[in-house]
Amino acid sequence: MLVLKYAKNERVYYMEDNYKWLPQLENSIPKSAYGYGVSIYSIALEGWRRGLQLSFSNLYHKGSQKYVLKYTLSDGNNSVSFRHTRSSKVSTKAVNICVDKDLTKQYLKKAGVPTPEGKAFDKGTDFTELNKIAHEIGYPVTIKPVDGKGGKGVFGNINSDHDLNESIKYLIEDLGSENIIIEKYITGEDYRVFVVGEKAVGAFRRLPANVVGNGTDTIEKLLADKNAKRVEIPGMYKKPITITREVHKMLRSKGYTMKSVPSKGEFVALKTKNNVSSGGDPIEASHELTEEMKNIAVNAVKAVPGLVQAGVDLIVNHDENYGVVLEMNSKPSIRNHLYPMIGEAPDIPKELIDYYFPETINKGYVSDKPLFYFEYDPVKQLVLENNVKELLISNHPTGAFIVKKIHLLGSFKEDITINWLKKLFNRYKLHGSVEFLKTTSVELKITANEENYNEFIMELTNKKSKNIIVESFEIEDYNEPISIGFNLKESKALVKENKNLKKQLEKNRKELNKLKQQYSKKRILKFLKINKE
Amino acid sequence: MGENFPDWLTKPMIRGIKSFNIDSYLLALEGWRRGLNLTWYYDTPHDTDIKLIGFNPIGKIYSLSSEDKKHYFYRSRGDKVPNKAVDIASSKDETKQHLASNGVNVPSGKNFDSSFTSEEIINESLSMGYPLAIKPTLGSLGNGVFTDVNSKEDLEYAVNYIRNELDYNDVLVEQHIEGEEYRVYVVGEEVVACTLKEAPNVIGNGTDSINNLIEQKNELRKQNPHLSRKLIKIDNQLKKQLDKINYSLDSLLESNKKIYLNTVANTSIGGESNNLKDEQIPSSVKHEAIKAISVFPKLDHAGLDIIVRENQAYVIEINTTASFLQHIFPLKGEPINVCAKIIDHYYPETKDVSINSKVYFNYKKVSDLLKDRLVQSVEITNLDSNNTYVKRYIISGKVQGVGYREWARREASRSRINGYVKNLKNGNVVVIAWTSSNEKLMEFEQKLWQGSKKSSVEQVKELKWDKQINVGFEIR
Repeated sequence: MLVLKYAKNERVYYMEDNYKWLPQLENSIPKSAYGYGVSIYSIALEGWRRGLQLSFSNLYHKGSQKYVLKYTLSDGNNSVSFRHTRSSKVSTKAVNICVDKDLTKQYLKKAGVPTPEGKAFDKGTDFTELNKIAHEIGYPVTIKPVDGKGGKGVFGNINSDHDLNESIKYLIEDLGSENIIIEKYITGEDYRVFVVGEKAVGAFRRLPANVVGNGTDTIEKLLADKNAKRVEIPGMYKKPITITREVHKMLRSKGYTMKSVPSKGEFVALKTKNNVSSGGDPIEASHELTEEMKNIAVNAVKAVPGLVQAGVDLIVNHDENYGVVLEMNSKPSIRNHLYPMIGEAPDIPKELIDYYFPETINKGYVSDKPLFYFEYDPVKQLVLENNVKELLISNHPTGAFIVKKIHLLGSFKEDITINWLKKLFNRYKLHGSVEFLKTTSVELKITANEENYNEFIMELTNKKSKNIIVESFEIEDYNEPISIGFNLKESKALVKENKNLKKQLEKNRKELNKLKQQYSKKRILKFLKINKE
Repeated sequence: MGENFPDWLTKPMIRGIKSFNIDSYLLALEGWRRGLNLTWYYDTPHDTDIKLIGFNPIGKIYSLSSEDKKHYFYRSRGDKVPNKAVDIASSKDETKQHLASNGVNVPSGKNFDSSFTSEEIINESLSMGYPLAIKPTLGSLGNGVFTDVNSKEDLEYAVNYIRNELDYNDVLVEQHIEGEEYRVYVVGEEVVACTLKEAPNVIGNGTDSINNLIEQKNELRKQNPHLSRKLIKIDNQLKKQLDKINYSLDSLLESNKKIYLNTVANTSIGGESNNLKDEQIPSSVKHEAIKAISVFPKLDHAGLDIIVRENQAYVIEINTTASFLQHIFPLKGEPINVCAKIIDHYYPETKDVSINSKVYFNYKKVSDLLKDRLVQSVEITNLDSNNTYVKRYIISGKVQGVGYREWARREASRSRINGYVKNLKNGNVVVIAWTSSNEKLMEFEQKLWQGSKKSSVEQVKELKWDKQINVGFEIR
């Protein structure tokens, strides 16, 4: 049973695995794209699977003195570049407006989009003046740097001149903020809404770091299990939920310790902050928003000329049915949308590509075709090593395909077999992976068109050379996505086998030394014996 | 023993590159060093019709471009060479007829297509008179070429070999011209390189056996990057040849006596290459080479095989995708940078650009990416300046197994530092760092002291580095 209360997260019940992620991304995200890269990868993949040309480039941005990863999708005539999730169709002016929270506020106000009343000031402003502004707005207030990112330096629910002044001092002295906003603190639920064109295509909110009881395990165990699961989620930070002093404090306040066993389905919050990076869970929340609220988000994006798409931070007070826009992010991550812990993930990559390449709607994803994806490592290398400036990814394969898992049995010298298979992959336009299970067994997961596939099988059938002998092979149907080109999977089994062989070798060597010593000892003894006699 | 490299190349630059790919790499490198954009392709891109020949074009198709023009290349051939010329030159018979009808000296001979039986070829060839040269009309790389054929037995063997072993239908039989063999490279209307080829030979010193002399020759070849694997092989054929001239491997060769170990002047079987200075090139060679090139409309650059007998030059073959490695790595004489001449021709405006002959890019990475068929094309990072400040740093302390290299790479990428970082066996880490601003290099040096979280740096020793430097920053 799923019960979600809007306002407070004190007791939220949810069933385990009550989520549905995008099926076309299952087993299609390479490990190297996990985390921050998921937003980039999922959008690029969607465009590429529809037959668009995809390139990645690493550009040096002279202004910020930084390299920026850019990817471009093109149908030959129309070409759209992205930085993270933001397309080149978003104007520079719009980007600059979003960076400046005060300017954003002004645009929103002008367009009649609700936003908390507030005012910006610079760090030179004296405190009597500031307190006056706060009184005009009315406590409680929020303060934040005008150009802050990722919630850094945001202080909410400030209720006194003293607290206000302390927080401002901290912003100026510790964070080096130049310009600061004071605004009305609004109570409600925090939502992040992703808007493309005139559509709110997804919304999530965050639960604080938590565990849900199963009636038998301790909080400690539940947390360990949850952390182990979290690192396997493509959209998650690799950071596990850490056990801080805050966690202990939080548990104590509820009369719990790490050893307590919560009842089945009981939601135990571990932290107060709803930050995903501090271990919070994103949950899909579109259904919690009324059309009216979604429209506020859409209108916010419309209010900034040239914005086209953005992540909108919306606070909704459900009890009083109002919503306000706090700020907008022109290149928000979409990983929390794609991998919610509760609810069904919205297909944001699809919405984006539909919007920029409407002629490709309904292209790709034909049911009799395998799902292809591409390795992301070279793209990461592009950024890290910078010896290559641009990579044009091979086009998505077209045509009819046979997909099989082939298990080769025989005897295989690793490097020579790899070169042989690489050549065959090239000759017969095969895609897929090669994994050495043992030196006597190799597993292929491949796809090709029928003609090439048959030729390839012929090659396998007749293979007998000094270093490669195919004695037999088994063919099975295979339905998982295939990575394009030749992919050598690192073989854990072979690594283990190598290790064991090395161990055995070392053992043998010791044995040999021992025998040698014994032998020479024997000889000496014999020699002594002879001498005695 | 170090190998002999021309002053614009070093061994690590071409390490691991297969010989058929080196032409592509060296020509691309020259263009890239001049500031041109360099992109490598898996397949021929749509906006060019440059003709591919041979197998496996991976790592051989590339483009060089400036702001206002772009040229495609396949191995040593650029897109200024018309495909028609490539087609004609790929047939030795067509080439010959084309040259002959335009008044260029070629050996006389006849092409026999599949309508002739082997017997008919042999009979008709006999009437041409010895010595003969027999080759597959559409062959390349000297495969199946028989020269100085002087008996019916050898003639039969050659024809049968070409037809039955190599599976060629067309056989070209021509008079064998005994003379000095030259390999020439022409760009525009200029002979830019001329290498005199000589059959494998040894010269006596009065003390060493022929066997020893061969070993000495091979030692010399091993120092040459292009010839190090093309040694004189001691096999039955060689013994037979010695026998013919009444020597054996153990014979002591008298002082200054020169004997030939083979009749063919091919470097791959131990032949010698000697780069001639411009003034040493026979005028007949220059004259006939330019004349031959000019009868092909718009053939902007090519390699030619020419034989000179009694001051008369004969054009044997034109290769529009010729390797220029023997001009760059000759056994004797000065290396000639043919690549520079070709780039001059395509991009005359870059002729006077000062280049840094220490910089190179990671070609192996490019060809690996293309081979795995993940990418269609790869563009190499541009050189932003020819001014380079280079240093080598040895970092000591707790610097291995603590993520120092990954950290250094991240920092280098942020600061636009090129070079590499590598663990040393003694527990230290070495960093080669270069960039176009001295200030930035100094900043980076300061950063090296910080290191990754788990590391603890005791010392950063600054040293000189004047060897090759790679673009990008790699972990090695």
